[in-house]
Amino acid sequence: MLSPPSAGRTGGARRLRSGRCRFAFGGVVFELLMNDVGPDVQLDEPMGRFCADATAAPTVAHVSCTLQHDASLPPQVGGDALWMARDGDTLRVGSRQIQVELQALGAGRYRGRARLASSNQALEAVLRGVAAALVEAEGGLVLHACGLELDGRAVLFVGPSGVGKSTATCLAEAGHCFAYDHVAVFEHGSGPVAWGLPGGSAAAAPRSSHAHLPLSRILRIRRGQDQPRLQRCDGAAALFVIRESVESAEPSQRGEQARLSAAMRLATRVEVGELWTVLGHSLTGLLREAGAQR
Amino acid sequence: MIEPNARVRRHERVAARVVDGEALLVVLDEKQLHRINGVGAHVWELCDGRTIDAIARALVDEYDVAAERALADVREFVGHLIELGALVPEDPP
Repeated sequence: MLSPPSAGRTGGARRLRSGRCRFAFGGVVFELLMNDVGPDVQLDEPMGRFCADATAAPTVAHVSCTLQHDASLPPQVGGDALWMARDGDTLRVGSRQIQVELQALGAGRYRGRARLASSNQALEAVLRGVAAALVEAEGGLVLHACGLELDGRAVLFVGPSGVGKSTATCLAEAGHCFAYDHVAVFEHGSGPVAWGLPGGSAAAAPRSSHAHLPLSRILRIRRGQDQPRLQRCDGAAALFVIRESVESAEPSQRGEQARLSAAMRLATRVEVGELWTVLGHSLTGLLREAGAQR
Repeated sequence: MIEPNARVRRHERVAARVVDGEALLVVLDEKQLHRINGVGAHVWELCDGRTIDAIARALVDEYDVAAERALADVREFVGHLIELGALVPEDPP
């Protein structure tokens, strides 16, 4: 019997030493074999905040990956963009710092190898890239969003950079921020789950202790004039709100069709709307009132 | 403006969904998202390689619109979608 998704507390700082380690990150269980990555490579704050215990976390994929240090790859780069490509059962994720090749084994299981520069930055790129690729491959999405925990559930604020997503988390003063800029969203058990990913500038709002939460709403932020208000979106409008916020480094037409299908499924599973925010006006009451009406 | 006997098809680098009479188009190479409502979504669905003239006639059969007006509107709308990179004119056989 399927159990409802639960909120998961983060593990705090997580230091990974040489050898085998297992944890959940971004909706994926990672089993990493780290025999040759050098003593300097370790998963530390702030990445540890986004990790959880693999045995209890809601996940969509499981990957066993051997990490191998490659001295030819630059340990530090500025703004290293990830790319992804899929060819049959082979999935590749890369950047200037990492080269990952995974084989799909079926039922959400993957096995592969990663070559990476010797740095925390490169290890983080492996985790972010692999989690994003596998969540998408398993029917989920990675959204450009601020994640707010309110009454034990996740509300995602989406919209273009500068629209006021972080500000909205501050205006919902009863909530706690669990993601500043990126959120993995996927179906698990009886409902969709939102799992915060690293990145973005820390909002002034208090920080949530959860890495993942059951997802209740996705709200496109707009700047209002007098009073904050919330308007529900259906059909193509809801699909637009979700697809507009999708982040993906996989540019194929087939991949895009899959993303649209995932966005359509999500639009039927959570409330999607537009939220007009006004500086100095709290959003807590409005968000709770709308939640109670569902 | 595109000729009435020209044929158009959807660009292979476009992904689309029609929901409740509205279409959402993702033009991959431009990284653009477009929302088309009402008759425009229907025109999008009709752009399957048939001629502009045939698309206009299909609209006349379904909507209360004069043939001349339908043809002019389809030519303008299809021209706009070609500019966006969502449609491509097919080479004549």
